[in-house]
Amino acid sequence: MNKVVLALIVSFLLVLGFKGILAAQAISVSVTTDKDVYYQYEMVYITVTVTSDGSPVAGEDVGIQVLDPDGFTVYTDQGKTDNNGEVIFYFRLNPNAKCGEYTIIATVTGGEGEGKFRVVPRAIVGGEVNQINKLELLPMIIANNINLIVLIVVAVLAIYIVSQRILENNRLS
Amino acid sequence: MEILIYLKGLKYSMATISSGAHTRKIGRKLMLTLIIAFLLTFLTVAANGYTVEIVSVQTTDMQGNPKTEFKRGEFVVVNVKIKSLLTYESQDYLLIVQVKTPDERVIALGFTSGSLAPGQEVSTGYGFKIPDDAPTGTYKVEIFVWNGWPAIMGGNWKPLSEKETTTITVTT
Repeated sequence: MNKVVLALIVSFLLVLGFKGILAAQAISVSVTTDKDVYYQYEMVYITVTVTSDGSPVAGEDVGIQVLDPDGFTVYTDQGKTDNNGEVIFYFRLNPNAKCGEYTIIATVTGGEGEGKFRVVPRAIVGGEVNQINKLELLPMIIANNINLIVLIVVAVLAIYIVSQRILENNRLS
Repeated sequence: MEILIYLKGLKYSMATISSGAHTRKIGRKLMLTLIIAFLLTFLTVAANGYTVEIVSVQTTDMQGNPKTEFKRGEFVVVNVKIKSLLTYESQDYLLIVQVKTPDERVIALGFTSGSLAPGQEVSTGYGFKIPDDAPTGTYKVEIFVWNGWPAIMGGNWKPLSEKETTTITVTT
């Protein structure tokens, strides 16, 4: 009786062992993001795809860890793959997120994948401009156009002098 | 004779039974016990593949009073009770607590690690301060129990439990 039970257990364990080893060897994990470069405070969407011999693996637990440029963990998550072998993770970068290259590590039991993205400072897209009296701008306009103003003044003076001389010559003649 | 279980690529060593006239009798009893323990564990683990159960998650203030509504600048303590579903061996765990603002920013990320004896229940947790300029609204508190960090474990990474999520409300 014991021998039969033992034989059954050994067979069962062998099957489980081989199944585990085979499954672990064939798994492939790919990591992609919706963009290569993000601004601070932007949403990051990460797609992890799990395949086995090219076929999607559904219902697989995926763990994810995102490391900042200094190697500190800034985001973790866990999800299950859908029928396409995909799971999507998302998070928003902090407004003061470090700029540089971030690393995404996605793992399943028996496989792992890696992805990268960059974070750059957020562009200034807005601001407040106060109403300014046009007269306040006059000194700035003069300073910026001083060469042109001098040229115009000299030209006007030259025209005036020339015209006066012509008029005087006409009077004398 | 050594009994080994291979489950999802992990090796579980159950026991070594020596053969001999005197030890055979004890070996039979031991084997029966092992088979029962193995079957019970297998049935439990095979149901969802996880070896740790998150029994409860509760948010409290610093004095341990349960609450789910906090003001900016207050401290939040996340108490987590976990239990090992394994009946025959200890397991190491990494428990991560991650807190996200309503706009999906991570404002707190902490972890604790340890070892769970077979069937053992442990209370652990993590505390954090809500920043004074934090947005108001509903925050997500996520709990993960893994066998280690993905960056360290690689292909040997394994979730020990389902992800658990609770919420807190932050007011001015």
